[in-house]
Amino acid sequence: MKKLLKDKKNVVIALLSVLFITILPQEGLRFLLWVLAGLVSASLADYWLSKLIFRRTIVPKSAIITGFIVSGLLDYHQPLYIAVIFSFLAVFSKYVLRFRKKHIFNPAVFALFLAVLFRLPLTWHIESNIFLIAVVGVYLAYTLKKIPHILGFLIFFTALFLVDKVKAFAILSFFFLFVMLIEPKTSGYGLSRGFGFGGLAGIFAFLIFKFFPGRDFFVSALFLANAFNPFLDRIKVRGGNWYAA
Amino acid sequence: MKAIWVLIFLIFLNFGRGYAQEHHMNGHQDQIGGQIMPAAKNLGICPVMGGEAKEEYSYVYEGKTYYFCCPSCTEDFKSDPQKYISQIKEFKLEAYQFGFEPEEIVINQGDRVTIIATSRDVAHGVYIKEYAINVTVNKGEEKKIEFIAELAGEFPILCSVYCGKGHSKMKAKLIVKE
Repeated sequence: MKKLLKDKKNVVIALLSVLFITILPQEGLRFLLWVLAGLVSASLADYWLSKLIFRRTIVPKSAIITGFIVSGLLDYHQPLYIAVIFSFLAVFSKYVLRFRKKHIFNPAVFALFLAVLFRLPLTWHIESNIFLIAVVGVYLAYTLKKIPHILGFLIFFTALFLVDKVKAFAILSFFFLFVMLIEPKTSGYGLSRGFGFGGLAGIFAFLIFKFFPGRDFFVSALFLANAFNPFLDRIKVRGGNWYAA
Repeated sequence: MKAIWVLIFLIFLNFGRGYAQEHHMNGHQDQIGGQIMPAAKNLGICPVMGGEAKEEYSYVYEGKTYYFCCPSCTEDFKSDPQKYISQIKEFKLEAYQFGFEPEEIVINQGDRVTIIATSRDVAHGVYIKEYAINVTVNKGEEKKIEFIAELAGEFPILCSVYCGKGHSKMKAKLIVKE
Protein backbone atom coordinates (compact mmCIF):
# COMPACT_ATOMS: atom_id res chain seq x y z
CA MET A 1 0.00 0.00 0.00
CA LYS A 2 2.79 2.38 1.01
CA LYS A 3 4.63 1.55 -2.19
CA LEU A 4 1.49 2.20 -4.17
CA LEU A 5 0.94 5.60 -2.56
CA LYS A 6 4.54 6.60 -3.19
CA ASP A 7 3.67 7.24 -6.82
CA LYS A 8 1.41 10.27 -6.59
CA LYS A 9 -0.18 9.42 -9.93
CA ASN A 10 -1.79 6.44 -8.19
CA VAL A 11 -3.17 8.75 -5.51
CA VAL A 12 -4.64 11.07 -8.14
CA ILE A 13 -6.13 8.14 -10.07
CA ALA A 14 -7.66 6.82 -6.84
CA LEU A 15 -9.09 10.25 -6.03
CA LEU A 16 -10.55 10.68 -9.52
CA SER A 17 -12.01 7.16 -9.43
CA VAL A 18 -13.75 7.84 -6.10
CA LEU A 19 -15.08 11.18 -7.37
CA PHE A 20 -16.34 9.46 -10.51
CA ILE A 21 -18.02 6.62 -8.59
CA THR A 22 -19.62 9.14 -6.20
CA ILE A 23 -21.39 11.00 -8.99
CA LEU A 24 -22.14 7.96 -11.18
CA PRO A 25 -25.48 6.89 -9.58
CA GLN A 26 -26.81 10.40 -10.10
CA GLU A 27 -25.70 10.80 -13.70
CA GLY A 28 -26.22 7.25 -14.94
CA LEU A 29 -25.09 5.06 -17.80
CA ARG A 30 -24.48 7.87 -20.25
CA PHE A 31 -21.90 9.43 -17.91
CA LEU A 32 -20.22 6.04 -17.42
CA LEU A 33 -19.87 5.53 -21.19
CA TRP A 34 -18.69 9.09 -21.65
CA VAL A 35 -15.89 8.79 -19.07
CA LEU A 36 -14.89 5.33 -20.33
CA ALA A 37 -14.62 6.74 -23.86
CA GLY A 38 -12.33 9.48 -22.58
CA LEU A 39 -10.20 7.07 -20.54
CA VAL A 40 -9.76 4.53 -23.34
CA SER A 41 -9.02 7.19 -25.96
CA ALA A 42 -6.41 8.96 -23.81
CA SER A 43 -4.76 5.72 -22.65
CA LEU A 44 -4.49 4.19 -26.12
CA ALA A 45 -3.22 7.46 -27.58
CA ASP A 46 -0.53 7.74 -24.91
CA TYR A 47 0.53 4.12 -25.28
CA TRP A 48 0.81 4.23 -29.07
CA LEU A 49 2.30 7.70 -29.37
CA SER A 50 4.97 6.83 -26.82
CA LYS A 51 5.77 3.67 -28.73
CA LEU A 52 5.78 5.47 -32.08
CA ILE A 53 7.76 8.57 -31.12
CA PHE A 54 10.01 7.49 -28.24
CA ARG A 55 9.97 3.73 -28.84
CA ARG A 56 9.04 3.25 -25.21
CA THR A 57 6.36 1.00 -23.80
CA ILE A 58 4.55 2.75 -20.97
CA VAL A 59 1.75 2.21 -18.50
CA PRO A 60 -0.35 5.27 -19.38
CA LYS A 61 -1.09 6.49 -15.86
CA SER A 62 -0.84 10.17 -16.84
CA ALA A 63 -3.24 9.55 -19.70
CA ILE A 64 -5.75 7.95 -17.33
CA ILE A 65 -5.66 11.14 -15.25
CA THR A 66 -5.98 13.22 -18.42
CA GLY A 67 -8.92 11.12 -19.63
CA PHE A 68 -10.68 11.46 -16.28
CA ILE A 69 -10.23 15.24 -16.20
CA VAL A 70 -11.23 15.86 -19.83
CA SER A 71 -14.33 13.67 -19.72
CA GLY A 72 -15.14 14.65 -16.13
CA LEU A 73 -15.27 18.34 -16.94
CA LEU A 74 -16.83 18.28 -20.41
CA ASP A 75 -20.61 18.07 -20.66
CA TYR A 76 -21.44 14.40 -21.14
CA HIS A 77 -24.62 15.12 -23.10
CA GLN A 78 -22.43 15.68 -26.17
CA PRO A 79 -21.90 12.88 -28.70
CA LEU A 80 -19.40 10.26 -27.50
CA TYR A 81 -16.88 11.08 -30.21
CA ILE A 82 -16.35 14.47 -28.53
CA ALA A 83 -14.91 12.71 -25.47
CA VAL A 84 -12.76 10.52 -27.73
CA ILE A 85 -11.44 13.41 -29.83
CA PHE A 86 -10.70 15.80 -26.99
CA SER A 87 -9.02 13.13 -24.87
CA PHE A 88 -6.89 12.20 -27.86
CA LEU A 89 -6.03 15.86 -28.52
CA ALA A 90 -5.01 16.27 -24.89
CA VAL A 91 -2.48 13.45 -25.10
CA PHE A 92 -1.40 14.45 -28.60
CA SER A 93 -0.51 17.97 -27.36
CA LYS A 94 1.88 16.37 -24.86
CA TYR A 95 3.96 14.97 -27.72
CA VAL A 96 3.73 17.94 -30.06
CA LEU A 97 3.76 21.18 -28.07
CA ARG A 98 7.14 20.87 -26.43
CA PHE A 99 9.87 23.25 -25.32
CA ARG A 100 13.28 21.99 -24.27
CA LYS A 101 12.09 18.39 -24.33
CA LYS A 102 9.18 19.12 -21.96
CA HIS A 103 5.55 19.59 -22.81
CA ILE A 104 4.35 23.12 -22.15
CA PHE A 105 0.65 22.68 -21.57
CA ASN A 106 -1.12 20.52 -19.07
CA PRO A 107 -2.60 18.03 -21.60
CA ALA A 108 -6.11 18.03 -20.12
CA VAL A 109 -6.12 21.81 -19.90
CA PHE A 110 -5.02 22.11 -23.53
CA ALA A 111 -7.95 19.97 -24.72
CA LEU A 112 -10.43 21.65 -22.41
CA PHE A 113 -9.27 25.04 -23.60
CA LEU A 114 -9.95 23.95 -27.18
CA ALA A 115 -13.41 22.91 -25.99
CA VAL A 116 -13.87 26.39 -24.51
CA LEU A 117 -12.93 27.93 -27.86
CA PHE A 118 -15.48 25.69 -29.58
CA ARG A 119 -18.07 26.86 -27.04
CA LEU A 120 -18.57 23.38 -25.62
CA PRO A 121 -19.91 23.68 -22.07
CA LEU A 122 -17.82 22.46 -19.15
CA THR A 123 -20.10 21.07 -16.45
CA TRP A 124 -17.37 19.89 -14.03
CA HIS A 125 -19.25 16.75 -12.97
CA ILE A 126 -16.06 15.19 -11.59
CA GLU A 127 -16.04 17.81 -8.80
CA SER A 128 -18.44 15.65 -6.82
CA ASN A 129 -17.00 15.82 -3.29
CA ILE A 130 -15.12 19.00 -2.41
CA PHE A 131 -14.15 17.78 1.08
CA LEU A 132 -12.36 14.74 -0.30
CA ILE A 133 -10.71 16.92 -2.97
CA ALA A 134 -9.54 19.35 -0.30
CA VAL A 135 -8.10 16.66 2.01
CA VAL A 136 -6.32 14.67 -0.71
CA GLY A 137 -5.40 17.91 -2.49
CA VAL A 138 -3.59 19.37 0.53
CA TYR A 139 -1.70 16.07 0.91
CA LEU A 140 -0.74 16.12 -2.79
CA ALA A 141 0.25 19.79 -2.75
CA TYR A 142 2.43 19.23 0.31
CA THR A 143 4.17 16.10 -0.90
CA LEU A 144 4.61 17.41 -4.46
CA LYS A 145 5.93 20.74 -3.10
CA LYS A 146 3.17 22.75 -4.71
CA ILE A 147 2.05 24.87 -1.77
CA PRO A 148 3.59 28.05 -3.33
CA HIS A 149 1.44 27.53 -6.43
CA ILE A 150 -1.72 27.37 -4.37
CA LEU A 151 -0.75 30.36 -2.25
CA GLY A 152 0.20 32.42 -5.31
CA PHE A 153 -3.11 31.64 -6.94
CA LEU A 154 -5.21 32.27 -3.84
CA ILE A 155 -3.55 35.58 -2.98
CA PHE A 156 -3.99 37.12 -6.43
CA PHE A 157 -7.36 35.53 -7.12
CA THR A 158 -8.97 36.58 -3.84
CA ALA A 159 -7.35 40.04 -3.80
CA LEU A 160 -8.51 40.92 -7.29
CA PHE A 161 -12.01 39.60 -6.67
CA LEU A 162 -12.14 41.52 -3.39
CA VAL A 163 -11.35 44.73 -5.27
CA ASP A 164 -14.17 43.84 -7.67
CA LYS A 165 -16.52 43.11 -4.72
CA VAL A 166 -17.06 39.48 -5.71
CA LYS A 167 -16.77 36.72 -3.10
CA ALA A 168 -13.86 34.74 -4.51
CA PHE A 169 -14.45 31.67 -2.35
CA ALA A 170 -18.04 31.38 -3.58
CA ILE A 171 -16.80 30.64 -7.09
CA LEU A 172 -13.50 28.96 -6.31
CA SER A 173 -13.07 25.44 -7.66
CA PHE A 174 -11.29 23.07 -5.29
CA PHE A 175 -10.82 20.60 -8.12
CA PHE A 176 -8.99 23.25 -10.09
CA LEU A 177 -6.92 24.38 -7.10
CA PHE A 178 -5.89 20.98 -5.75
CA VAL A 179 -5.80 18.81 -8.86
CA MET A 180 -5.35 20.87 -12.02
CA LEU A 181 -3.20 23.78 -10.88
CA ILE A 182 -0.59 21.60 -9.20
CA GLU A 183 -0.03 19.19 -12.08
CA PRO A 184 3.64 18.36 -11.54
CA LYS A 185 5.17 18.55 -15.00
CA THR A 186 3.69 21.82 -16.26
CA SER A 187 3.60 23.95 -13.14
CA GLY A 188 7.27 23.94 -12.20
CA TYR A 189 9.01 23.75 -8.84
CA GLY A 190 10.46 26.16 -6.32
CA LEU A 191 9.08 28.96 -4.22
CA SER A 192 9.42 31.87 -6.70
CA ARG A 193 8.56 29.79 -9.73
CA GLY A 194 5.56 28.20 -8.07
CA PHE A 195 4.29 31.43 -6.57
CA GLY A 196 4.75 33.17 -9.93
CA PHE A 197 2.90 30.42 -11.76
CA GLY A 198 0.02 30.40 -9.28
CA GLY A 199 -0.10 34.19 -9.24
CA LEU A 200 -0.28 34.37 -13.03
CA ALA A 201 -3.08 31.83 -13.07
CA GLY A 202 -4.93 33.87 -10.43
CA ILE A 203 -4.56 37.10 -12.38
CA PHE A 204 -5.66 35.47 -15.64
CA ALA A 205 -8.64 33.84 -13.91
CA PHE A 206 -9.81 37.23 -12.67
CA LEU A 207 -9.30 38.94 -16.04
CA ILE A 208 -11.18 36.23 -17.93
CA PHE A 209 -14.00 36.21 -15.36
CA LYS A 210 -14.27 39.98 -15.64
CA PHE A 211 -13.92 40.53 -19.37
CA PHE A 212 -14.89 37.22 -20.99
CA PRO A 213 -17.68 35.93 -18.73
CA GLY A 214 -18.84 33.23 -21.13
CA ARG A 215 -15.49 31.42 -21.08
CA ASP A 216 -14.38 28.99 -18.42
CA PHE A 217 -12.01 31.18 -16.42
CA PHE A 218 -10.18 28.38 -14.61
CA VAL A 219 -9.29 26.36 -17.68
CA SER A 220 -8.45 29.45 -19.73
CA ALA A 221 -6.32 30.91 -16.95
CA LEU A 222 -4.34 27.72 -16.53
CA PHE A 223 -3.80 27.44 -20.25
CA LEU A 224 -2.43 30.99 -20.35
CA ALA A 225 -0.24 30.43 -17.28
CA ASN A 226 1.12 27.28 -18.99
CA ALA A 227 1.96 29.39 -22.04
CA PHE A 228 4.32 31.38 -19.83
CA ASN A 229 6.21 28.25 -18.81
CA PRO A 230 9.19 28.91 -21.10
CA PHE A 231 9.65 32.29 -19.34
CA LEU A 232 8.93 31.00 -15.86
CA ASP A 233 11.54 28.32 -16.44
CA ARG A 234 14.16 31.04 -16.41
CA ILE A 235 13.41 31.82 -12.76
CA LYS A 236 16.19 30.33 -10.72
CA VAL A 237 14.85 27.70 -8.37
CA ARG A 238 15.31 29.03 -4.89
CA GLY A 239 13.67 27.78 -1.76
CA GLY A 240 12.73 24.47 -3.32
CA ASN A 241 13.02 22.89 0.08
CA TRP A 242 11.50 25.71 2.08
CA TYR A 243 9.48 23.18 3.98
CA ALA A 244 10.21 19.58 4.70
CA ALA A 245 8.79 17.13 2.22
CA MET B 1 8.38 28.77 -29.40
CA LYS B 2 7.17 31.11 -32.14
CA ALA B 3 4.38 28.68 -32.92
CA ILE B 4 3.19 28.94 -29.33
CA TRP B 5 2.99 32.71 -29.50
CA VAL B 6 1.11 32.53 -32.79
CA LEU B 7 -1.28 30.11 -31.08
CA ILE B 8 -1.77 32.49 -28.16
CA PHE B 9 -2.32 35.41 -30.54
CA LEU B 10 -5.00 33.46 -32.40
CA ILE B 11 -6.65 32.58 -29.12
CA PHE B 12 -6.79 36.22 -28.09
CA LEU B 13 -8.32 37.04 -31.45
CA ASN B 14 -11.01 34.46 -30.77
CA PHE B 15 -11.55 35.77 -27.24
CA GLY B 16 -11.59 39.34 -28.48
CA ARG B 17 -14.23 38.52 -31.04
CA GLY B 18 -16.41 36.95 -28.35
CA TYR B 19 -15.87 39.92 -26.08
CA ALA B 20 -16.79 42.44 -28.77
CA GLN B 21 -19.87 40.41 -29.68
CA GLU B 22 -21.10 40.08 -26.12
CA HIS B 23 -20.52 43.73 -25.25
CA HIS B 24 -21.99 44.94 -28.52
CA MET B 25 -25.19 43.14 -27.58
CA ASN B 26 -25.25 45.14 -24.38
CA GLY B 27 -27.42 42.83 -22.40
CA HIS B 28 -30.10 42.01 -24.91
CA GLN B 29 -28.60 39.11 -26.71
CA ASP B 30 -30.91 36.87 -28.65
CA GLN B 31 -30.28 33.35 -29.74
CA ILE B 32 -32.29 31.75 -32.46
CA GLY B 33 -31.44 28.20 -33.35
CA GLY B 34 -27.91 28.67 -32.13
CA GLN B 35 -27.32 31.84 -34.12
CA ILE B 36 -26.51 34.85 -32.01
CA MET B 37 -28.14 37.88 -33.51
CA PRO B 38 -26.39 41.24 -33.55
CA ALA B 39 -27.96 43.94 -31.38
CA ALA B 40 -29.03 46.02 -34.38
CA LYS B 41 -31.30 43.17 -35.51
CA ASN B 42 -32.38 42.09 -32.06
CA LEU B 43 -36.03 41.68 -32.97
CA GLY B 44 -36.52 38.05 -32.12
CA ILE B 45 -38.40 35.63 -34.32
CA CYS B 46 -41.41 36.24 -36.51
CA PRO B 47 -44.56 35.18 -34.57
CA VAL B 48 -46.15 33.87 -37.78
CA MET B 49 -43.49 31.90 -39.66
CA GLY B 50 -40.73 31.73 -37.05
CA GLY B 51 -38.09 33.29 -39.28
CA GLU B 52 -35.73 36.08 -38.33
CA ALA B 53 -37.81 39.23 -37.70
CA LYS B 54 -36.88 42.42 -39.53
CA GLU B 55 -37.30 46.02 -38.49
CA GLU B 56 -39.13 47.08 -41.64
CA TYR B 57 -42.01 44.65 -41.05
CA SER B 58 -43.71 45.69 -37.82
CA TYR B 59 -47.17 46.11 -36.40
CA VAL B 60 -48.33 47.67 -33.14
CA TYR B 61 -51.04 45.71 -31.36
CA GLU B 62 -52.36 46.64 -27.90
CA GLY B 63 -49.38 48.91 -27.33
CA LYS B 64 -46.79 46.25 -28.17
CA THR B 65 -44.72 46.21 -31.34
CA TYR B 66 -44.42 42.89 -33.15
CA TYR B 67 -41.82 42.30 -35.85
CA PHE B 68 -42.13 39.92 -38.79
CA CYS B 69 -39.97 38.31 -41.42
CA CYS B 70 -41.97 39.43 -44.48
CA PRO B 71 -44.98 41.57 -45.49
CA SER B 72 -47.30 38.60 -45.88
CA CYS B 73 -46.68 37.55 -42.27
CA THR B 74 -47.56 41.08 -41.16
CA GLU B 75 -50.87 40.84 -43.01
CA ASP B 76 -51.61 37.38 -41.62
CA PHE B 77 -50.97 38.66 -38.10
CA LYS B 78 -53.20 41.73 -38.62
CA SER B 79 -56.09 39.51 -39.69
CA ASP B 80 -56.07 37.49 -36.43
CA PRO B 81 -53.50 38.72 -33.85
CA GLN B 82 -54.75 36.53 -30.99
CA LYS B 83 -54.17 33.38 -33.01
CA TYR B 84 -50.46 34.10 -33.12
CA ILE B 85 -50.07 35.81 -29.75
CA SER B 86 -51.52 32.75 -28.02
CA GLN B 87 -48.70 30.67 -29.52
CA ILE B 88 -45.99 32.80 -27.91
CA LYS B 89 -44.99 31.34 -24.55
CA GLU B 90 -42.89 33.62 -22.38
CA PHE B 91 -41.03 32.37 -19.30
CA LYS B 92 -38.71 33.90 -16.77
CA LEU B 93 -35.76 31.72 -15.81
CA GLU B 94 -33.60 32.81 -12.90
CA ALA B 95 -30.22 31.17 -12.40
CA TYR B 96 -28.65 31.08 -8.94
CA GLN B 97 -26.02 29.17 -6.96
CA PHE B 98 -26.92 26.30 -7.53
CA GLY B 99 -30.12 25.88 -9.47
CA PHE B 100 -32.71 27.40 -11.75
CA GLU B 101 -36.08 28.87 -10.87
CA PRO B 102 -38.41 27.41 -12.14
CA GLU B 103 -36.97 23.89 -12.33
CA GLU B 104 -39.29 22.94 -15.18
CA ILE B 105 -40.54 24.76 -18.24
CA VAL B 106 -43.42 22.98 -19.93
CA ILE B 107 -44.44 23.91 -23.46
CA ASN B 108 -46.11 22.33 -26.46
CA GLN B 109 -44.42 21.29 -29.66
CA GLY B 110 -44.63 24.13 -32.17
CA ASP B 111 -44.80 26.88 -29.53
CA ARG B 112 -42.81 30.02 -30.06
CA VAL B 113 -40.88 30.32 -26.84
CA THR B 114 -39.27 33.33 -25.20
CA ILE B 115 -37.12 32.76 -22.14
CA ILE B 116 -36.04 35.82 -20.18
CA ALA B 117 -32.91 34.65 -18.37
CA THR B 118 -31.53 36.45 -15.31
CA SER B 119 -28.95 35.73 -12.63
CA ARG B 120 -29.42 36.18 -8.90
CA ASP B 121 -25.73 36.11 -7.92
CA VAL B 122 -22.76 35.38 -10.20
CA ALA B 123 -22.42 34.76 -13.93
CA HIS B 124 -24.27 31.65 -15.12
CA GLY B 125 -24.90 29.96 -18.43
CA VAL B 126 -28.19 28.75 -19.86
CA TYR B 127 -27.42 25.75 -22.04
CA ILE B 128 -29.94 23.62 -23.93
CA LYS B 129 -27.97 21.39 -26.27
CA GLU B 130 -30.85 20.15 -28.42
CA TYR B 131 -31.90 23.72 -29.27
CA ALA B 132 -28.32 24.96 -29.71
CA ILE B 133 -28.81 27.53 -26.95
CA ASN B 134 -25.81 28.65 -24.94
CA VAL B 135 -26.18 32.06 -23.33
CA THR B 136 -24.15 33.67 -20.56
CA VAL B 137 -26.06 35.83 -18.12
CA ASN B 138 -24.35 38.08 -15.59
CA LYS B 139 -25.85 39.34 -12.35
CA GLY B 140 -28.18 42.23 -13.08
CA GLU B 141 -28.52 41.37 -16.75
CA GLU B 142 -31.55 40.16 -18.64
CA LYS B 143 -31.03 37.96 -21.69
CA LYS B 144 -33.81 37.09 -24.12
CA ILE B 145 -33.69 33.62 -25.67
CA GLU B 146 -36.18 32.86 -28.44
CA PHE B 147 -36.79 29.64 -30.28
CA ILE B 148 -39.49 27.48 -31.80
CA ALA B 149 -40.12 24.23 -29.94
CA GLU B 150 -39.78 21.88 -32.88
CA LEU B 151 -38.40 18.87 -30.99
CA ALA B 152 -40.61 17.05 -28.51
CA GLY B 153 -39.16 15.47 -25.39
CA GLU B 154 -37.42 16.31 -22.15
CA PHE B 155 -34.24 18.34 -22.41
CA PRO B 156 -31.88 19.30 -19.62
CA ILE B 157 -31.15 22.96 -19.04
CA LEU B 158 -27.61 23.21 -17.70
CA CYS B 159 -25.30 25.94 -16.50
CA SER B 160 -22.42 26.30 -18.95
CA VAL B 161 -20.36 28.80 -16.94
CA TYR B 162 -18.48 27.63 -13.85
CA CYS B 163 -20.24 29.31 -10.95
CA GLY B 164 -18.96 27.55 -7.83
CA LYS B 165 -18.80 24.23 -6.05
CA GLY B 166 -22.33 23.15 -6.96
CA HIS B 167 -22.02 24.09 -10.63
CA SER B 168 -22.50 20.52 -11.87
CA LYS B 169 -25.74 20.23 -9.87
CA MET B 170 -27.38 23.17 -11.62
CA LYS B 171 -30.15 21.61 -13.65
CA ALA B 172 -33.60 22.44 -14.92
CA LYS B 173 -35.79 20.75 -17.48
CA LEU B 174 -37.41 21.89 -20.70
CA ILE B 175 -40.40 19.66 -21.39
CA VAL B 176 -41.84 19.91 -24.89
CA LYS B 177 -45.14 18.01 -25.14
CA GLU B 178 -46.27 16.54 -28.43
